[in-house]
Amino acid sequence: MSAFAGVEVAARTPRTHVALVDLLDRVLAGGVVIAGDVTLSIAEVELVRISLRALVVSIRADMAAGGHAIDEELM
Amino acid sequence: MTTRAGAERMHDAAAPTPAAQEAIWLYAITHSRDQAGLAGLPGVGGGQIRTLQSGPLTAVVESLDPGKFSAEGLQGRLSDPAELGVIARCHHDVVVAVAAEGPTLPFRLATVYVTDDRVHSLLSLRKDEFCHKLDWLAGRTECGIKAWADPDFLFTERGTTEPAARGPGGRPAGGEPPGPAEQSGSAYLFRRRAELAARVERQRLAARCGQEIHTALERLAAAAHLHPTQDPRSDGEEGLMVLNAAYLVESALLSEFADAAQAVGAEAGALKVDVTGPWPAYSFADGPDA
Repeated sequence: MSAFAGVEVAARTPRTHVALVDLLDRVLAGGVVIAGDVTLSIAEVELVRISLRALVVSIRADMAAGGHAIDEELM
Repeated sequence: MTTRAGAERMHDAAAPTPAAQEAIWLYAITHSRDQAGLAGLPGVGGGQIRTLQSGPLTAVVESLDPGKFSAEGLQGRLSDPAELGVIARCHHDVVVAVAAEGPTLPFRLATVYVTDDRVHSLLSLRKDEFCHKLDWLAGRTECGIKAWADPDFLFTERGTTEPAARGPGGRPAGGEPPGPAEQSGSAYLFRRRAELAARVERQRLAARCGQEIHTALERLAAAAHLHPTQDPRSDGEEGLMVLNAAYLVESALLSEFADAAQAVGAEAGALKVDVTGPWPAYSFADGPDA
């Protein structure tokens, strides 16, 4: 998957050179939490918060298995 | 937290159902209304970053295309590692730009409201709490510290286990090499027990190394937060990560703090100490009362 909202991933050169793994530690586990970890449909409830901790674990597992997709993003 | 979530829910129940579905991505809350630094920054949905005011508070948000950002669509994008990376960096770039203007409370990634009114409600409902946290963060910044250690080195230099566990293969230091008669069950058990003891000791020493660094740095910081240590494969570093922490420090003392981290790391026998940041205060959004 290289496109996001019509913009090529490569075109979005990171302007802040932080390691993705450090960034994910913070944006997925830090920050103001509004209503806890609730995964809800937008149609029914006005507030959506998606828990992503499990996802990070799976990303790290992918990388350990030799995934290359985001390796260069890491440094 | 439970009380707050409960109050939020009660508020939700009383609020009128919004007429049209939108998706409003929340980046951060701050005091400063002047957010010229946001101009031209690409948002997570490629839309324009804008601000919503409520009293002393400013929320930095972006309207997402509800067609592209349904709950399922958003979930799908966030589940793709490459897209998650792009979204995280876009979110971060905006939060960094806001933090350059003054104290900033970042929202956790993927905090989405359905209308501007809901964001206004949030700001007015929790005004005191957000102001209190922003005051606490003023003049401070988040510094990341990661430390690695070589457990074998710590074991050799600082181990306290009896010599029996130290020699190669558990051979007692200075003892006779095992004769043929000792290549038996009891010798094997002795060796295995010594190996296990050595492994436990290596783990204990690695944990203590991280704890020593943390204890020293915590004293120099307004607040501290421990993140889980990262998978060794995820950053290509040598050694074992013994500390992955964030410290809230006075911005003016950031370089002194970084120097202290290196000094404390060396004293604790760490292989390497990495300093990251300054970060927006992601790890301290719970405020001073956490």
